[in-house]
Amino acid sequence: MSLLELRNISKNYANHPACNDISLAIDEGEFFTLLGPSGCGKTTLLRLISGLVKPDNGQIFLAKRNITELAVEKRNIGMVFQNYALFPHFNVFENVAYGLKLKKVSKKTIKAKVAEYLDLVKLTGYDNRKISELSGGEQQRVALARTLITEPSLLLLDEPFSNLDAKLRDKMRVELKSIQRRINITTVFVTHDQSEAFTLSDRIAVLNEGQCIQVGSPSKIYADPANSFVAAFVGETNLFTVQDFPFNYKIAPLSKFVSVRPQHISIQPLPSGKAGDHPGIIVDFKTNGALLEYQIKLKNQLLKVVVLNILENDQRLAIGDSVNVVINPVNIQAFVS
Amino acid sequence: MIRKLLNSKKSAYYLGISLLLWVLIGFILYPALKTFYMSFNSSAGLSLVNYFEIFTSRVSMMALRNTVMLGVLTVLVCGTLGTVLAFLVNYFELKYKKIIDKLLLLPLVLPGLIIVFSFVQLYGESGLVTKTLEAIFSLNEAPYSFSGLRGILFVHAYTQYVYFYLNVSVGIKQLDQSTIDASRNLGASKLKVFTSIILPTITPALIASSIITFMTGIGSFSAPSIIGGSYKVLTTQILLSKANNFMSIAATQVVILILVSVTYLVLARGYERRKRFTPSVRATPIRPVRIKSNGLNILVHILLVLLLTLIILPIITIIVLSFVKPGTWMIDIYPREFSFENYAQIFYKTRALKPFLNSITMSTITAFFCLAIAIPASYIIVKTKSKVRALLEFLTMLPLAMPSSAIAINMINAFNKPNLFALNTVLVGLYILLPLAYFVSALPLMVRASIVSLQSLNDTYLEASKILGARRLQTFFTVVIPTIAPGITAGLLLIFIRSIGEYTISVFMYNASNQPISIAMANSIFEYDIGLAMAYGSLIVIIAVVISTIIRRLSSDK
Ligand SMILES: Nc1ncnc2c1ncn2[C@@H]1O[C@H](COP(=O)(O)OP(=O)(O)OP(=O)(O)O)[C@@H](O)[C@H]1O
Ligand SMILES: [Mg+2]
Repeated sequence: MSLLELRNISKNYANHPACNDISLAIDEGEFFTLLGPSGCGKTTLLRLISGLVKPDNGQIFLAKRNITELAVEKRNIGMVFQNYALFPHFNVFENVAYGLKLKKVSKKTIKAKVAEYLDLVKLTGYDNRKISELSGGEQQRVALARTLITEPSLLLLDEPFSNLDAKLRDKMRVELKSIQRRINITTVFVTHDQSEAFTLSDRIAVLNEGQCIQVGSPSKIYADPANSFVAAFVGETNLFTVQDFPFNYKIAPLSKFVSVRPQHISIQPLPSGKAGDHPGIIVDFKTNGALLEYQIKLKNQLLKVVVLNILENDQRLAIGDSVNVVINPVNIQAFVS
Repeated sequence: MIRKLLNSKKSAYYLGISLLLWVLIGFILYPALKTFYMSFNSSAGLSLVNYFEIFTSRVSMMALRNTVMLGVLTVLVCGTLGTVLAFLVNYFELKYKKIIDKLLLLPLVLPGLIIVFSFVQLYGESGLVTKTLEAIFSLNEAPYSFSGLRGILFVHAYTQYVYFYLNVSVGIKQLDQSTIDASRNLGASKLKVFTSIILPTITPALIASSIITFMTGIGSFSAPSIIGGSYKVLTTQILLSKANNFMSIAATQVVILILVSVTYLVLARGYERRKRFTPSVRATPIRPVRIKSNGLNILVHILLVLLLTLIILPIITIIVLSFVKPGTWMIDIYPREFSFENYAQIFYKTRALKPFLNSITMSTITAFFCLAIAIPASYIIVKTKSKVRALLEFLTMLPLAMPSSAIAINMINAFNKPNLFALNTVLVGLYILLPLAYFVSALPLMVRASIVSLQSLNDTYLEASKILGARRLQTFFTVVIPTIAPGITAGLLLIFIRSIGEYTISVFMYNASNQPISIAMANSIFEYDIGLAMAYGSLIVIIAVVISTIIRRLSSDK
């Protein structure tokens, strides 16, 4: 059953659409991600859901109730801000307790609940710390606890990891996901990082220029992108216009773009004098851990190819070598836009 | 229903803005324009007669020249003193740096009038220091004369070097050690480093300080009026014109004074614009330089001790003299008998207590006026896109361009007849006019303080609070107020201190009902009741020091 439903939501800023006719249905307990490049309207959509901004057009339903005109503070939707927005004049306890204090919950209950939620985010004993005395990761967890303690029916997260360094980011992702599973809260998550979206989400909506391009599970979006933008944005790919496509295979009629993922291409050494179907030359080469990445020049087009790093060293191909490029036609994706 | 609510919210907003503009226009702009108009007013209708009279009068022209001269010399003297001190304290390794810094900032909160009187007690013809020097070197007369331009400059140096000290200190802290190291590395001499790196960095600070010092210098009233002697300046001439009821001449003198101040402002700002630069974002703060030569080190410390003594001496003098038993210190160099009688007089005699209470009441009223206007005005300036923003900024900052004497004349001109802004009453002669004038002069300070506070109130805090379920009022009391309170309280307290020792506006406008402590102090001096005057002074000093300590606490909490 869908918990949150957006119907034809639009929002313009100075005649420029930040969200353009977006419709989405998000299920109970789902981890749903809004993915898209910077400026595509992710934050705007999140703020529309939270009620901080009112849509120009369209309706928002939460548990079948129309909340389009409902005031922010009455929606019972939780939101963690990109910069956490922890109140600097409160300590950790007071920050986490804030939402409950507003509801005039008894002191005893507040104490118990704050302890419970600080435990949930692994910050037991931090009650009296000032916000300025916390690390980025700790601030993030306080912000999460402060939001979760109000038991919102929906949790909104706007690029919550963008202020953390790479290592901490990975750790916080795992923690967030485990917390989300444990309390089973429906979550709308915003990011422009496709790998983050893929590791966390049940479903993803890909946005571009204020429009929702495709909604689906990570594997579906990766395997079957709706258009060339999604193909290029989600994972690495070799994208060509039909005219430039350097392989001699039939492309579906009316198509304008063609994409082949680097791991779907293989290369074979081509002894000098011998001809292949698709002869190319290695122009660049990079070791990337367990993978080898090649740049191949094929009919004046550059191709990216990724293979497993299992070849013996002496057999490895080098820059300048001639190779035959092989693909399985089923891995060719063609798009009309 | 919703539309109705929206409408009532909107009309409340417009009502609020109208009230704000009514106060700002009525008590700041209109009085200034009225003075401007008066300066063209003569028995023959609108004309330039008043200007003609001033520009052909030898005395008036001398006063004008003296005023400009005083402004320029004040800038030079304070600039040298303040800059040297800022470098001594911030650029070199020094012991007890924190305490020295605090002491050096002390003059910021001490009313000029008190310093003038205390200087008279120290360096005047029969001052303690003068007499001591005479005794030591067995001289027949004072080794120096404290009156006239020299005396005024001495007072100004004391009361105003602090602007340069403050700003240049901030500038030095912005210096980037790595650029200094780099230029040394490229072969620059120490002098070259100073002229090519250090000086450009502190130039904006120097210009900003020179503006405020120049304006305070030409607007200074207590020093010229008490120790100026024959050195006449515009501010004293304005009081003279007012006392003789030549209000049009007074208005003309005010316009000329404001023109002088605005001219300097424009010139300095223009120069500043050409010299402005953006400090590098990741500046490494400078390492204080150790003074290597032992001799130099001793010299620097002696210099500092001497300066600090000069700074503390007036304050000690005020306090000590406030305990002198009335009528016991006539011919001796030093007082011999001490008692609490002066304080007893203030606290047990209604006549002596009243000015003290008046000042407390009026300063409180001033602070509340400032609060009531500055908060909504700065809120609109910082947090809205309203069309009146620029107008509000202009109106609230306008008093910065007007010396105290000008504000006083403006208020008198505007409110000696019934007018609409004052609800058709004559305010001149009423108790409330003096706090109103204090309010006009203090408003820019308060607006600045609240603008800074509101800027620290990030919008996402408000959004976070809303999302967590807070209603408007709850957000206001739990997030807005606690965030902006420290800065605003500090601003209010500063205004309280300034108003409690205010002298210039008071001289022009006080009446029997609202005689403030500064006037009572001056009257006691002129009645040779030094002890009582000093007791008043001590009370102000104590209040100022206590409050400024609170202010410092408030601003360091963040
Ligand atoms: N308050 C506003 N006023 C005017 N324009 C706005 C406002 N908020 C957003 N926009 C515009 O709307 C568009 C979408 O902005 P939004 O912040 O939603 O993007 P985003 O996808 O969150 O980007 P990012 O990844 O950089 O955070 C942008 O072009 C932005 O400039
Ligand atoms: Mg965003």
